[in-house]
Amino acid sequence: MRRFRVTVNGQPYDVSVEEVREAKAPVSQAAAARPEPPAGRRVEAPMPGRILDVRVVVGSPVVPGSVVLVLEAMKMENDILADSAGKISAVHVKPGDAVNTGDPLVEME
Amino acid sequence: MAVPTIDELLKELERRQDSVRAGGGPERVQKQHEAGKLTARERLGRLFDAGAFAEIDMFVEHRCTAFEMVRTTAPGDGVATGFGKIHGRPAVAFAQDFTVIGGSLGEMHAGKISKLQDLALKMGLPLIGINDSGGARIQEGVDSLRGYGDIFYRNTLASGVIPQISILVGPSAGGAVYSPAITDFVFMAKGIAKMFITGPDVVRAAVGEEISAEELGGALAHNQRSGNAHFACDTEEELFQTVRRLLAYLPQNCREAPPRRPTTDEPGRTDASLIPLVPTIPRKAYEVRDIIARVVDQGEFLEVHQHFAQNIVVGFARLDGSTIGLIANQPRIMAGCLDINASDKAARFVRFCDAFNIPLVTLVDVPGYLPGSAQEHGGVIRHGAKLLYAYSEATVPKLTLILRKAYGGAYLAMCSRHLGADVVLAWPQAEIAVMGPEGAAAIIFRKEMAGSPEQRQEKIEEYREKFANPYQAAQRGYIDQVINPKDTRPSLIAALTMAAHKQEARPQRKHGNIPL
Repeated sequence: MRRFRVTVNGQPYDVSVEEVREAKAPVSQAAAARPEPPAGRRVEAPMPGRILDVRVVVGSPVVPGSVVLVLEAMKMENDILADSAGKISAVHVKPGDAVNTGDPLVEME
Repeated sequence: MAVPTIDELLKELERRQDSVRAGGGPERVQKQHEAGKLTARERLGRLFDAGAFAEIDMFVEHRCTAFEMVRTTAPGDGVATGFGKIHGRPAVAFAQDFTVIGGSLGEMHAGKISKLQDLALKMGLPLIGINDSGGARIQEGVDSLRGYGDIFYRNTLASGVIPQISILVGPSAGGAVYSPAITDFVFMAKGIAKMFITGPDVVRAAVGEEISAEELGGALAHNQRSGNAHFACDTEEELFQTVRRLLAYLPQNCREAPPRRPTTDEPGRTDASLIPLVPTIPRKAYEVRDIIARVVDQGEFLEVHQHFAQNIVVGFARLDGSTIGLIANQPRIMAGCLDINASDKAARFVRFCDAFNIPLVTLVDVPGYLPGSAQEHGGVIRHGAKLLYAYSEATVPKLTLILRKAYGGAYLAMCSRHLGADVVLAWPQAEIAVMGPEGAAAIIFRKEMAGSPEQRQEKIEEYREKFANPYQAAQRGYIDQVINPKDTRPSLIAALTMAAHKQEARPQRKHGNIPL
């Protein structure tokens, strides 16, 4: 709620203005989420940790089981694997980055 | 009127049988095949030993007169039921027939299934349900609902008494999903099976989410994400072969021991290739299935829930011919930590094995529970507790082998001595401690740890030498034997043989209250 003083023909008026945001229907949320790449074409962080090593660059071909990067988490060096075949189209992280569960690591095409 | 001859009567019987076996007729059967699906009776033929299936209740018909039903004939009322042999052992099964009014479930259809369930429970035989149905037969109203209820009720009564297997080879929507959900193992055929409470159309109308039936409730959705299904098979052929393989590990009911299968794999076989498999550097991962394959009979392992919570591996194998249930942390996936899904997966498997007299062999290499708000708010305390509960409650022989890390609460949860393990073995690289050396040193040597990196490392090493080994726990008798990894198979078989006639009582009660 914001308050304004408006003067009309020399007469001051106190007005309060409430900003009404249009409630977002779940429909539009789902619609907005749709352009996201389909699941499986993106490798996400399975748990919180720190990137130790990135083994691919944009354009690298991968097959299911290829190690795309190494994530240090739970005091272990965890190989993060591709779960489908394709080519790396984007790499979102570099060594030293901290990541959380679900963060995108690489995209595949 | 002439009295019919026996030849005429036999002809009449044959005619009636043929008309039921024809299901919904050649056109619908063709459609079923074009959809890449087998018919109900073809499926039963693949599940049972050749020529071993005897169909019952062929001539059951619906008695609904509402709407067009009075003029609708439904051979077998859309489901084939009966008994036969699988690997020479009796079992009972039903198969819904999608070619007969969409395999919809009405009063008599459900009645045939319920009758079969009663039979299976009374005889102590495994029950296999083949699901391919459009759902409730709307025309039959509450009689159809009652039918589902009757089936769920019997699934529950039979739970833990006979093995119950659900096969999904078609749609299963709404209430229909709850019969598979109550049973022990759910098999889904990729591309054919769909399972959901509400389908894509309702999802779109109710919450505006666009999702295909396959993504919402296909074989991979339930095997990877929801964990509702335990096996995903590429084809129906593979599916029925896998069901047969699974049954070969299981007893017919909870009063029997699992069947023994003589093996040529020597019980005394040692394997030096096990020695380097688990890196002594605790940061390095490895594939735990490589260990399982070298230890069990002929390396044969039937993994359950292969695609779900892959940070823990569970499944059936044999040691010197006897079925065992294996539970193993998988360091290759998420460091092998315990989380909500891994706890649920392992606890469910442990309880199945305990119900059916299958000894448990637990391979431990666990860094702890997965931290984070997603886990805490998702209820990891409650879910993690299920695993402790399941192991504590189990009275079958419990063997534990600590391969490497066994830290804190996760050490306790993985069938530790303190939850009633009968024999606890450890490899020399085992570390049983409250936490990893880095974390522990940071607390114990708080002052020194603030110093130079060399000083830090020195203190971590000091802790590692003192505690990061199996001997502290062995001094207390929490570990019975520290073994050379090459002797793993003979050591486990010796322990299993020793424990073969284990008897352990639990207090009398109606039932426990597992933290669901």
